Amino acid sequence: MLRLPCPYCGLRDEPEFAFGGPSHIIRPTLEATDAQWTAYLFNRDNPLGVHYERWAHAYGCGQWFNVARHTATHEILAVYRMGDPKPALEAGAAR
Amino acid sequence: MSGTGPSRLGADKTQFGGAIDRARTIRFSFDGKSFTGFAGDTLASALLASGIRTLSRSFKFHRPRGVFTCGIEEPNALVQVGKGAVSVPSTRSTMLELHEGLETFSHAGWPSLNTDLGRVLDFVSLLWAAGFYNKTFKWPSWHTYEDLIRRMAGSGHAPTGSDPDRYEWRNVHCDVLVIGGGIAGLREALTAADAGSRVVLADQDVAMGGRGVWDGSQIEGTSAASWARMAGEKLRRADNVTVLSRTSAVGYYERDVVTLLERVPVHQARPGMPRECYWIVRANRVILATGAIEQPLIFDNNDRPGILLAGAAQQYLRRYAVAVGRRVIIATNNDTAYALARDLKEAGVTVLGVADSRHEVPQARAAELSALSIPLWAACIPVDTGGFSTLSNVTLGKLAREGGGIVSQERHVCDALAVSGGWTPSLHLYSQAAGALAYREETRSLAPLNEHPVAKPVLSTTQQTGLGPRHSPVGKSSRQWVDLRHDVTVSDLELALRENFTSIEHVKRYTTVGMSVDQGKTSNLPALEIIARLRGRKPAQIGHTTFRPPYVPVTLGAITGRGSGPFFAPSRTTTLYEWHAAHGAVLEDYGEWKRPAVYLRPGESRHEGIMREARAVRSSAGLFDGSPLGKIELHGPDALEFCDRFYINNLKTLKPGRARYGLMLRESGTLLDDGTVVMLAPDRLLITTTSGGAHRVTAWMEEWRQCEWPQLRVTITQVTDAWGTVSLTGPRSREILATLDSDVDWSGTAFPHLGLREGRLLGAPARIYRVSFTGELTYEINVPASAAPTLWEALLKAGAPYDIQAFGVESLLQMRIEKGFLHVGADTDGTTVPDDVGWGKVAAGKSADFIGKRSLSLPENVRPDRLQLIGLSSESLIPIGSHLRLPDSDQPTDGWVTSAGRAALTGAPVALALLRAGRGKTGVEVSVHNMGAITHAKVVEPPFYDPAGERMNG
Repeated sequence: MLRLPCPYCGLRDEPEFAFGGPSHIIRPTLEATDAQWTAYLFNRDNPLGVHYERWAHAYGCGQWFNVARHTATHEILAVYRMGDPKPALEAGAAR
Repeated sequence: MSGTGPSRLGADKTQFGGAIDRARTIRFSFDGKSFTGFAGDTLASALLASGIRTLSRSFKFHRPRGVFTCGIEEPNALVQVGKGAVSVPSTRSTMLELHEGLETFSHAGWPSLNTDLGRVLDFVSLLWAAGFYNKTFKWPSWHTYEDLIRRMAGSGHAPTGSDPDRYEWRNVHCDVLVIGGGIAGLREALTAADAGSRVVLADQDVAMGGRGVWDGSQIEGTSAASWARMAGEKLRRADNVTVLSRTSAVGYYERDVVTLLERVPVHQARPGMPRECYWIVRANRVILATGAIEQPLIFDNNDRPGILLAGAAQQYLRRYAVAVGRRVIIATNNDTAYALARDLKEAGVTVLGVADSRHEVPQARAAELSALSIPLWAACIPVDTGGFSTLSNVTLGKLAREGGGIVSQERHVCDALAVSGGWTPSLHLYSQAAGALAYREETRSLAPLNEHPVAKPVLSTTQQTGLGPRHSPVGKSSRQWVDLRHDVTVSDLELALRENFTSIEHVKRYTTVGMSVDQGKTSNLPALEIIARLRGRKPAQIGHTTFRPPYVPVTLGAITGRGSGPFFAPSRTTTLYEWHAAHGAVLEDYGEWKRPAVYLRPGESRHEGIMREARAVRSSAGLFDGSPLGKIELHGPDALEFCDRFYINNLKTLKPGRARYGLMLRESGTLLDDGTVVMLAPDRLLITTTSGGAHRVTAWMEEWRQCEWPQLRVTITQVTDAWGTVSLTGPRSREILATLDSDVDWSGTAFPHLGLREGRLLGAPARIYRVSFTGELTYEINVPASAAPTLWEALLKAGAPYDIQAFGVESLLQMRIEKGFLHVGADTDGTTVPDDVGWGKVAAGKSADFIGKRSLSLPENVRPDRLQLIGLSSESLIPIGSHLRLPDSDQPTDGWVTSAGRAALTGAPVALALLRAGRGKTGVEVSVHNMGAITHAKVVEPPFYDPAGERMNG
C-alpha cells in the first residue's frame, strides 16, 4: 500500500486517493489530425523509472496534485501542485 | 515415565515442561478418539505425549507422516480443526493451543489415518512425478480425474458455512516496530522504549522470549526464561510500548507498512471479542528479530514419523516434557544439536549416538558427548531409514574423505531420529521489503546483501560456520524428500532440470517445491543447494525464489475485518425509506441505494404490481421517490461556460427558469451520463445526473476544473442529499397540486414543460421543474430532504380522490421504454456515441468545443454500419440481450435488445434495441435469437406511445 504525501493534508494511505494517469499531457485543439487525437486519447508512455502522474485526494481534501514516482520501487521523489511545472530530478534516483 | 501419556516425562523432572501446567488437564479429540493434555500444550505436544506418532498422510504418496518441527514451519502435521462453518483445514498442530473440547481431524487416509489404502500410490510413485498432470490423466480430459485426485490429496476441506466469527482491524503508527520477541527482539524493544520511541513489539508465540528461554541458557547471570519474563513485564508496563503476543507479522508492503495477525485463543475469548485482529502498522523503523529456522538433512526415506528437527526435539522436551522417542539417534552437521543429546540424557532417554557429518568435530563437542557416555560417529550421515508405519531403524553411512560416497554403513534400531542441517535466518519479511538476499557460503544460508533504509534484520546467534554436508551422497533420488508438504523429491528436481526448467523460479513452479502452506521454510534452502549441485553451479549463482506475503496463512475474515455482510457496501436510503418499507415496498439495491422496486399488494405477482402502477400513472397520477437522483450546483461567473463544455447541447441559449435535457461524453466521444441542466440564475446552474452518476460526474467536473480549466471561476457542490425529490406524474397531477398550499402557478401556460419554478409548497421552500421520464405530465418537486415525508403524505392524501398510487423503480423503467427514453448503461455501452442514440444532429450543431467533440468525427464513430437505437414491436415479450439478425445478413449478429417491457395501457410488448444501421431499417422484420430459440420482430421508430409528446408537454 502506498502512502502518498498530499500537499494539503500530509502523508495518507493509498486507498484515500484516486489515480489520474500521467501529468503534463497537453490536450490538442480541435484542429488535431485523427492520428494526433487518437494518440492523445489512447497512447501513453510506460517508463521504468520516474513517472510524473496525477493523483486526487478523493476521500480527503478532494484536491488534485502531481507526484513523481519511481515505477519500480514506488519511491515518491517529488510532490507538486496541479499546474506547477515538472520538477528537475536526478536521473536514476531510486532507493 | 509417568504423567499423562506414555511419552510424557514425570513431574519430578522440573527442568522440563516449563510451558505446561500439570494442574490443569484438558480433554480434546483427534479423529474421534479422546485424549488428555495439559494447559500450555499444543495439539502436537499432547499427541506426541500420548504416543501418537502418525498425524497425517503425505500429499501424493500417502506415506505416513508425523510431527517434524515445533513451530510455524511445520510441513507434515497439519490437521482439520472443528466442524461445520468454523472448520479450518491445514492448521499446524504445532501451533494449535489446546482448549477444552477441541476437536481435530486428520486430513487424509482411507479408511483411516493409520490404515490408508492410499499408500498404494507410494508404489506407483513414478506416476506422480513433477508435472504429472501435464503428462498423464489426460484422456478424455483432466477433469475426469481431477475431483478424485484432489480428494486423495487430502488437504482438508473448506468450512461448510459462512464464517460466523468477528474480526477486527487495528491501524497504528509507531516509531519502531520490533518483529520477534525473542531475546534479541526484547533487547531492541527495551532500547527503543527507553529512548522514548513509540514501540510495537510482536511475537507469534504465546509468550515473549522465543527459543532462547527453552534451551537452558543464561543471560546477565539469570536464566534466559527469567530475563525474558522480566523484560516482557517491563515492556507491558511502559506507556509507549504495545506488546502483542500470538501475533505473526504476515506481510511487508510498500512504504514500510507491515501487517500483523493477532490470534485470540479460544480459551481466552469472551463474548464480543474478535477471533483474530489484523493490525496495519506504519513504522518509521522496523526491526526484524525473527530468528532462524532449522533445516533438514536429505537422505533416503527422510520423511518417516519419528524423524524431526533436533531443535524441535529439544523444545518438546523443555517446553512440554515430551520425549520424542525411547531410543534416539541425533544426526547433525553443526554444533547446535549437541544440546539435545545432553537434555535427552538428563531426561532419561537412551541416546544411541550422535552422527556428525563433519570429519573434524570440534573438540569441545566431542568432550561433551564423552562425558555423557554417548557415542560420537564423526563423518557419518544417515543414508536410509526403515519402518513401514513409523521409524524403526536408521542406516548411517561413513563419508569418504575424498571422492564422495561412503566407505561403510551401519544400521541401528531406533524409534526417533533428530536431524539438524544447520539454521537459516528467517528473512522473508526483509525480502518482501525489497531487501536483497544472497546465499553465503560460510554459513550455507541466505543473508541480507544490502542495507535497507527502514528494515533492519538482527541475525540470530545460531548462525554457524564450518557446516558439514547436508546431503547423503548415495541412495535413490526418488526416495529423498526435499519438500515434505508437497511430496517433492530430489528426483523431481532432477526431472525439472532434464526438461530444461533451469531457472529456480521455473523449478519451483514445475515441481511445486516450496509452494505449499509452509512456503518452503524447511525446503527452499535444501532445494537451492541441490539445484546448484545438479547444474554444476555455486548456490549463490542460482538466486532464490521471491518471498511473498503472507508469511503464514491468514484467515480471509481477518483481511476483511468488519467489512462483510451489511458492512460490505454501505446502503443508502432516502428520507422516505420508512414509508416505503411500511407500505409493501419490495426494497432492492439500485447502485448504492435501497429503493422500492414495486409496492406489492396482497395476492398480486411482481409483474402484476408493476403493470398496475404503470396503468395508474398513465390513467391518473403516481408518486415516485426520486431523491437518489444526482444533483449538482454550479455557481460562479463562469458556471455556464464551464457547464457548456461538458454537454453536447448548446447550453449558452438557456434562460433562467428553463431546463434542458443533455448528454455528457467522455473524451473518446462515448456516453458518460445524461441528465437535465436547469438554470436557476445566469451564474447558478443545477444539473441532475443518473442516480448512479452523482459521484462520478462531480469528480469528473472537479478534475477538469482543477487540472484543465483552473482559470474558470466556478464552484461545484453536490446537493443530492440536501434535497428530497418527489416526482408527481400523470394527467391529474396539476389538479392534485392545485389543492395544496403554495405560491406556484401550476398552469400549463405559466409553468410550461422544461420550466423551473422556485417557491413554497406546504410552507417549505421548493424547487420544481417539469421534466418527465414517464412521458406523462410530471412535476419533479424538490424540498429539503427532511420535509419530503410530509410532502409525500400530503400528496397522497390530496391525490386520493384521483386514485393516486406510489410507484417503484421497475414501473418507471418500463414506462420510459414505450416513450423511447434512453437509460444510460442499459441502452448504451462503452462504445455508444450520440449519433447512435439519435442525438447526432444536436452534437453536430454545436460549434463550441465540448468534451468528446473531436472524437465524434473519428472514422470509427461515423461508420454507416454502426449499431443504432431503434424500437421493436413483437407479439410476445423479447428477453433483454436477445440478438438480432437482419434478413440476408452475413454477420454473426446485427445487434441486440437493450430494454424490453410492456406498454402500460395496452400491455403490448415494447422493446428498444441497438441494430446495425437501424434507423434506415424501419419496417424491416428481424429475427430475434435467444438461447437457441428464434422469433421475429418488426423494426419501428420509437416512441410507441404519445409520439408527439402531447401528454408530457401539456
